Formats: sequence, C-alpha cells, structure tokens
Amino acid sequence: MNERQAKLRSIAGSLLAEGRVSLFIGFGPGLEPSRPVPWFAKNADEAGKLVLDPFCGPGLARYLLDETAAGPAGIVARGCDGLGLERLVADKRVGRDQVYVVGVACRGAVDPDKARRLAGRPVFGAEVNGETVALTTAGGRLSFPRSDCLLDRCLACADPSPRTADTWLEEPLPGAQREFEGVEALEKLGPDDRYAFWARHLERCLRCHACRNACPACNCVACSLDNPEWLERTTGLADHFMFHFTRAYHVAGRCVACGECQRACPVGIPLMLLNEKFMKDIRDLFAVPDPHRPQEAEPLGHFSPDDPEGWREGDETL
Amino acid sequence: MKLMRAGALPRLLETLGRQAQVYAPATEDGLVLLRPWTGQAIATSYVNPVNSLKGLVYPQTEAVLEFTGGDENLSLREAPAPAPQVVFGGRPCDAAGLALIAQVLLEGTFVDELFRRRREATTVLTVACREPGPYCFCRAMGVSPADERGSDVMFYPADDGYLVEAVTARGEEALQAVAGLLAPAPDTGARDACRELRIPLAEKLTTDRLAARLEGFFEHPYWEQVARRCRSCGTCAYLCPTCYCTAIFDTSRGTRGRRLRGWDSCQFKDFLLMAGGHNPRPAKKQRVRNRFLHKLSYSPANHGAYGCVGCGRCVEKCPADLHMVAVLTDLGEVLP
Amino acid sequence: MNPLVPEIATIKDIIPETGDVKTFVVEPDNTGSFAYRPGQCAMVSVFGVGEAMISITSTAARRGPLEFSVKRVGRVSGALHEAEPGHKVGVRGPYGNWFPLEDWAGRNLLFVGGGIGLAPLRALINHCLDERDRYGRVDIVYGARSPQDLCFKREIMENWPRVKDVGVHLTVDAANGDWQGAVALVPHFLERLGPSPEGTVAVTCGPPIMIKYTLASLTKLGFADDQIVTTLELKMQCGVGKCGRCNIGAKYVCLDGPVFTYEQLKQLPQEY
Ligand SMILES: Cc1cc2nc3c(=O)[nH]c(=O)nc-3n(C[C@H](O)[C@H](O)[C@H](O)COP(=O)(O)OP(=O)(O)OC[C@H]3O[C@@H](n4cnc5c(N)ncnc54)[C@H](O)[C@@H]3O)c2cc1C
Ligand code: SF4
Ligand code: SF4
Ligand code: SF4
Ligand code: SF4
Ligand code: SF4
Ligand code: FES
Repeated sequence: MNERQAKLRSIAGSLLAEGRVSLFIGFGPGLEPSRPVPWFAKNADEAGKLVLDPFCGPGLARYLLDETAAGPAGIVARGCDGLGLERLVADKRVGRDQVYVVGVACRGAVDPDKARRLAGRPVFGAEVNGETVALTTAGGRLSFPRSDCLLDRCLACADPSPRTADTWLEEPLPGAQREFEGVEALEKLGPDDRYAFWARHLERCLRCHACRNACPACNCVACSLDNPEWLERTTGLADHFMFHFTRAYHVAGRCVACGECQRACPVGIPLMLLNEKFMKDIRDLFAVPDPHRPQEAEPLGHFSPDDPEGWREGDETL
Repeated sequence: MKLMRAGALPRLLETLGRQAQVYAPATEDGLVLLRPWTGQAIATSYVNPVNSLKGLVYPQTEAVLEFTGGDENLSLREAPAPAPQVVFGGRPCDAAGLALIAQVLLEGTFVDELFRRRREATTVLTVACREPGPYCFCRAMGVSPADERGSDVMFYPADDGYLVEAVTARGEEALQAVAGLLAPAPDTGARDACRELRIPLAEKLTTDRLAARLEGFFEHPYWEQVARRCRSCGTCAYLCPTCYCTAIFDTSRGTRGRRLRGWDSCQFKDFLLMAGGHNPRPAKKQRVRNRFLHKLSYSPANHGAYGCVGCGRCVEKCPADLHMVAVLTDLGEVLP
Repeated sequence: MNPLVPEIATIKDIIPETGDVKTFVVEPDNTGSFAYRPGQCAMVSVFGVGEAMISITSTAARRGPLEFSVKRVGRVSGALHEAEPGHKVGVRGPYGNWFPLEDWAGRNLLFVGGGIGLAPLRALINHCLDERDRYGRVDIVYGARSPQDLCFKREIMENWPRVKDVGVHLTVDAANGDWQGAVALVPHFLERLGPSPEGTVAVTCGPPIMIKYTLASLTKLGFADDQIVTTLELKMQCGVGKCGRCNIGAKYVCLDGPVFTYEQLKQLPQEY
C-alpha cells in the first residue's frame, strides 16, 4: 500500500500517544477517494485513519490559528503549509514551539474536479510521475499531462517542502525560483482589456470570504473587511473591486503564495494573479528574490533608518 | 403537455423577453451561471448552475427603502416594484428550494413583501433532470428530479427538445405567449424518465426518521469534532438554494441613503455578536451545529420539510468538504 | 404593506434616566401610536445608522405616545443618544409576544429587574397597577450597579411605593453618595427578602448574567418553573421571523418570545 501514509500514521500516532501534541492535523477520508478532508486526530485511533496521497488538497496552515490554543498541535506540512506556518509565526499569531511539523516532499496535488472532468467518471486514485498524472478509474488507468490535472497553485509552486520541520517523512525537495508568467501575460493587455478581465471575474464574487478565511496571512483578530465603516456591505461590482483591492493590499508582502484563497473560491476567481502582481513588483522594485517567503526584513513591513525616502512623520522632505 | 424542439429555445426566450428580463444558463470561465440572456449561447451540459435560483428572486442585496432629508425633515420612499423576469434553466431542486424559502417568508404572522413582489414578478422555467451529477442527492431530502414545487413551467429534456408543461397559471400564461413554438406531445416518456431517474448518492444516505433521531443530539461531541475543519465562511449558505438568512443595514451619503437587506450566514463568527460583546455562538461547533440542525431538525419542525434539497452545491464547493452529504453519512453512523 | 418599512416618528421628549440610559418619548407622525401589550417591542431606527429592537416601556392603556428607554451601547443606540427633541426616527412594530397577564388574576406579583431590564417590566408594572384590584400583593425588586444607574427614579421612589400593597425594594451593587438602601446583587438581595412562592408569579428581566442567577434564586425560594416568567435577548435584524437571526433551536425570539416561562426556557437548547 501507500508507504508514506503508513509512516505518517505511525509518526502521528506516536506523537499523540507520547502526549507531545494534543492534536494532529492532516487529511482524513472524505466522501470519495479524490476528496480527502482536513482531519484532526486526537488519538492513535484517529491517527490511524490519516490519508496521504496526491489528492490531499486543502491548505492546513490556517487551522493552526484555532488549534494551537489548547496545546501543541502536530501538522503534516507541504511547502505551502510550511510557508503558511512561517507567516503565522512571523505575525506572532502562533508560537513555533506550539507546532510539531512533519515535513513532506510534495509533487503536486490533483484537483478532484479537473480529474473527474478529464476522466469523465469517478476517480479512485492518482499518481504523479514527473510530467504525467495517472488516474485510476473503474475503467482502468488513464494518463494525463500534469498541467491539466493539478490544482492551479501546484502548477506554479516553487516550494515542494517546508523550509523547516521537526521531523521529515521523506527527503525534502529543494525550493526553486517562482515565475510570474500569468502576471506578465496580464500586464501585456491594455488597461481596458485588463479592466474587462477583472470585471468579468469579480462580477461573480459572492463575498463569501472563503478566500480570506482560507488564508494564513489574513490572520488579524478583527478584519477590516468585516467593518462596515471600511467596506460597505453592498454587493455591486464597485464593492467587489473595493473588497479585492483591500484584501490583496492587506496581504501584499505577506502572502506566501500558498494559493489556498484561489482553491477555496467557489466561483473560480483567479486571486493568485492579484497576489502575484504584488510579489512580482516586490521582487523587481525591492530586489527580493523570493518575495513570497517570509523574510527577516519584510519588504513592505520593515523600516530602515537609512531609507532614501525617510519616514513620513515629521519628515521635511515629504 | 407540449413538445418544443431544442432549436426553438432562443425564440422562446426572445418572445418572453419582450415583456421581461430573461435569465438563462451561460458558460463563463468554465463555469455555468444563470445570467441575463441577451442572445448568447445557452449552456445545456451542466448539472446545476453555480448560482442557484435563489439569488434571482431573493437578491444578495436589495433596497428596502430610500430616505432623504435631515434630522427634522425626513421622507421615505419604498423600494420600487421589481420588473418582470423569466428564469430559464434552474433545476427542480433549486425550484423546490425557492418554494421552501417562500414558505418561510410568506407564511405566518408577517409576509415578506420584497420577496412576494419579486416572486410574483418571476416566471420560473425549470429544466428537469435526465442525468444526476456526482453530488446530487435530492431524493434523500424528499425532492425528485421532476419535482414541480416552486416551478411555473417544467421542461423535460427529450431527444430533440423538451416536453413542456405548465404548473401554475403564470406558467400557463407564459406558454400561451409562445404557443406557436409548441406542438402536441407524442407521449410522456421524457417526463416519466425524469420522474424515475435514479439518484445513486441519495440511495447511500438514510434520512429516515432523522428529525426524531436527532432529538437529544444537541450536546453530542460529534459537533465539535466535525466543526474543526469549518472555516466559517459564507460559501455554503450563499450557494445554498434554501438558506435565507439576511442582515438589514443602512448606507448613506449626505442627506440621502438607503436601507438594504442582504444575505448573511449563521456560519460567520459575528452572526450573533451583540452590542457589549456577548455572542451566543462564539464557537465553530455551535455554528456548524446550528446550520445542520436548522436544516435537518428545526426546519422540519417549523415548515414540515428539510432545509436542504440535495442540490450538491455545498458538497462540491465547501473549501473544507464539510457538507450535507458528509454530515448525513456521519450521522448514519453516530446516531442511534 | 412591507413590514420592514418603518413609520416616521418624531421624538417629542428625551428624559435622561442615568449616565447611559435615556427615555425617548416618540410619536409616529401619521398614526400617533399603535396597539401593543406589555412586553412587546418595536424596531426603532435612526436613518443612515440602522435599527435596534427596543422594548416599549410605556403602557398602551394610558394612551400616550410611545416610550423607549435606551441604553447607549453601540451604533444605533449611540445615534439615538445624540438625537434631540424634534428629530425624526423610524418605528415599526409591535413585535413579539407579551407577558401572559391574562392568567394572573388574583395572584401575587413579584417583579425582579436589573438595570435597563426594568424597561419592559415598567410597561407591565404600570399596566398592573392601573388595574390594581385584579392582583394580590405586588413586590418590585430592582437593582443597578450604583444608585446613579437606577432608571425611572420618579416611579421607583415615588409613584409605585404609594400604591396600596406594593413593596418596592431597591438595591445597588456598590453604594456611593448618600445611598441609604441595600447593597447587594439582585439575586442575593432577593433571597434575603425571601418572598413566598405561594400564589405568586415572578417576572424577571435584566442582563443575562443577572437572569441566570435570579432564576436559580427563585427556584431556591420554591418557585416552580411555570411560576417564573422572563425575557430573552438575542441579536435581531428583521423582528418579524424572516431574517433567520434570532433562533434558539426551532424557536425564534422575535416571534415566539421575548417572553418565556422558565418551563419553556428549559425546553430550549442552552444557547443564548
Ligand atoms: C427583545 C429585545 C428587547 C430589547 N429591549 C431593549 C430596551 O428596552 N432598551 C435597550 O436599551 N435595549 C434593548 N434591547 C437591546 C438592544 O436591541 C440592543 O442594545 C441594540 O440593538 C444595540 O444596537 P446598537 O446599534 O446600539 O449596537 P451595535 O453593537 O452597533 O449593533 C448593531 C446591530 O446589531 C443588532 N444588535 C446588537 N446587539 C443587540 C442586542 N443585544 N439585541 C438585539 N439586537 C442587537 C442590532 O440590529 C443593531 O442595530 C433589546 C433587545 C431585544 C432582543
Ligand atoms: S493570499 Fe492566498 S496565496 Fe497568499 S497566503 Fe493568503 S491564501 Fe495563501
Ligand atoms: S472566495 Fe471567491 S467568491 Fe468568495 S469572497 Fe473570495 S473571491 Fe469572492
Ligand atoms: S461548512 Fe464549508 S462552506 Fe460552510 S462555512 Fe464551513 S468551510 Fe465554509
Ligand atoms: S445544504 Fe448543500 S446540498 Fe443541501 S440544498 Fe443547501 S447547498 Fe444544496
Ligand atoms: S443554515 Fe444558517 S444561514 Fe442557512 S438558513 Fe439556516 S440559519 Fe440561515
Ligand atoms: S429577528 Fe429576524 S427572525 Fe427574529
């Protein structure tokens, strides 16, 4: 069977049995094999049901906000989860010592909707092998290009493993440099076409806040998007633009590119393009090679006394 | 019962569109949505549009009234009457959801006037189902793929068109306006096929005596465990064709303003936050429990029907896969 | 008629009760008033700010304008506190059920109020005192944080004590100034007074925490669950059973409440 999964179950089971964590966050069985669900094991029995396969999609980092209140939690972390944890720690919302990280080497998660559409029938299993993905169906195994099967966020991923872990399930994979092809293509459009692109997408926004509530960077105790004095509760296109500007600006420089906002969005709004536009600008304007990885000196959240533009308050030059 | 050829659909919508705003399913960025119809291609291969019928009859936000003037001279104007509209392409589950919302909003001591007006200005042309989607489970919730509740006209997909049948007087009127496009139906085969359609997912779920079995289940530890994965967003309630919770709020600029009503969800953490900071449901466990008990227990108690029509939207779209089918499956195991 | 559309009303008078409670005397511009019973509420709105559910503290049988006593706690209540006589507000109602005083003929009445919770009780007390002979003994127990936080001072100090066989018992959490009365939390004070449950109905209103302990005290004193009547407060938006906001289990406070007997309360999930 699945050796990685067996190993994870045993690591999580021991952590729980030894009382080193009070809860282990991973994936568990869902409605169908292609939809494992976020899973919160409290004992060895529940750890024995942990799932680890290419269908494990949902981002897990944000759950640490709720689940570390009662004691240390264990978590199985892909690169995106690891960066999310780093974000929560950097923002002082979660203590690093409250989390036990089991690092994995992720080869990309299969999007269950894409898989079903491609296969044209229920999909029971998946294997990611380099540039192809093999899907198991009742009618046998079918192969598809990786770029058609994986979650959007995985196609752009440069972080298959977390940067730190307390133990490794397997040899971590090295990180790469993020590319911003989608943003570059969008930048080439004229302003009218860009407006039409965003208007078409944002028109669909439900204002369900699934994007915000998925996000490890949207971790404020009280969110300005909930405050009617900042953002009216009306739901016209102009309000949607305001919502999305605000959300994107508030995570600019802090977004870890985990892509969970876009995965969570029920109406397919390409939120990552907004996030990546900021990343790309930060990379180019501030010479930060990996703008999505939490930095010692955050490009937009750090003040240096010898900043050529000075400090706004009391600065005569402004 | 009449037969309409598939090719006549644009003519039908065009004719009805002379008197009303028409909505029809359209494909956009790979999604099918009910959209204002201006002659564009009408999507046919979809299970359920992403947006349910709810939003067209019970909009996400709508004006209750407008006010002008200052502290001492103030005048109100009620929101103007809605324009007539025709909605083609919703499914029977959605229409049944609309019927349930109508029960809540129109029955009892008070009548929700905003909903009544818009419902009466709307003609619902429902397309019954010949093929279930992977997440459809209508039959488990007492809804059939040929359910007529909430519809004005039923369209039963046939080989080269639709069997068409009016359900209400409003539907009858609509069909009269397009009588030229309709021929006598050869048989009722297409309708029968919809009525008999098997819904595999529903067959795996047991909803027998559910309300009675949920009695005393309020304090069960199940709720805390299942709620852990919930993210307290609005996806499930906003996509759901039966969720009807709203907030009322004012917006104003200078001496003019509007009072609006808009969707809300009992899953948001501040849904019950009161002045002074008291919140009767601060924990996810309490909110998730309210959502499912409302649909499975309180709604049957108050309205004689489940607050879920099995449309499958929360199943497909909940970002944490915390949906009705998951809960019904779990309940099948944990309930006595 | 759209039940969500209020009638425009004029603030005729504003009576400061305490540092953060004011009573607003309000007259609907067209109808002058509407029929209501003790315990019912209305949605009061400040246009551009919003609406708040407020108990009607006046007594319908007296045929005067509507009165609302409002504690300043947030946006709408804050805006009301900024208003002046002559300003326009919106009023819609009456909403909710009322105190079941049809069943109370011949019985002793015990009212237990805390802070602004006296507002709905005031409507009831004045109603009952206007038909004094219908009831047995009447006792009014009322407490607030400090002597300055007691509402309706004219009534609790002068009007009510003068009525035959009416006892008014005041207490404060913390005394100051020249306060000569009791210093105790309402539930403790009530237990010390030790009213007899015999032939008595107890009605209690106040902050949730006070209600919780008062219910326990009444039980201790021997009151049966169906002899105790109270009110619940839950967040509200529509007031007419449509917005789905105010449910406790399958009950909606705006329709099935706010008045409940302790017996009914015990049937509900403890989530309020
Ligand atoms: C049946 C009932 C009777 C009441 N009677 C009185 C009374 O006589 N006097 C009085 O001062 N207060 C009363 N309240 C409480 C009063 O409704 C709230 O204090 C008020 O709504 C707060 O509004 P706000 O805008 O100032 O506060 P915000 O915190 O700004 O509230 C925003 C909105 O939330 C809702 N809301 C917030 N808190 C409450 C709450 N506790 N109850 C209901 N809705 C709330 C309202 O719609 C309000 O407009 C009563 C509440 C209920 C349910
Ligand atoms: S904005 Fe999106 S991609 Fe960035 S951290 Fe938040 S969820 Fe992840
Ligand atoms: S998740 Fe999507 S639909 Fe929901 S608020 Fe975010 S962008 Fe809008
Ligand atoms: S159940 Fe799912 S869709 Fe509903 S609030 Fe929770 S996470 Fe969001
Ligand atoms: S609860 Fe889910 S399946 Fe049921 S009607 Fe609502 S969205 Fe559809
Ligand atoms: S489930 Fe929640 S949001 Fe939906 S109708 Fe019920 S209370 Fe309202
Ligand atoms: S306040 Fe809207 S349902 Fe009770």
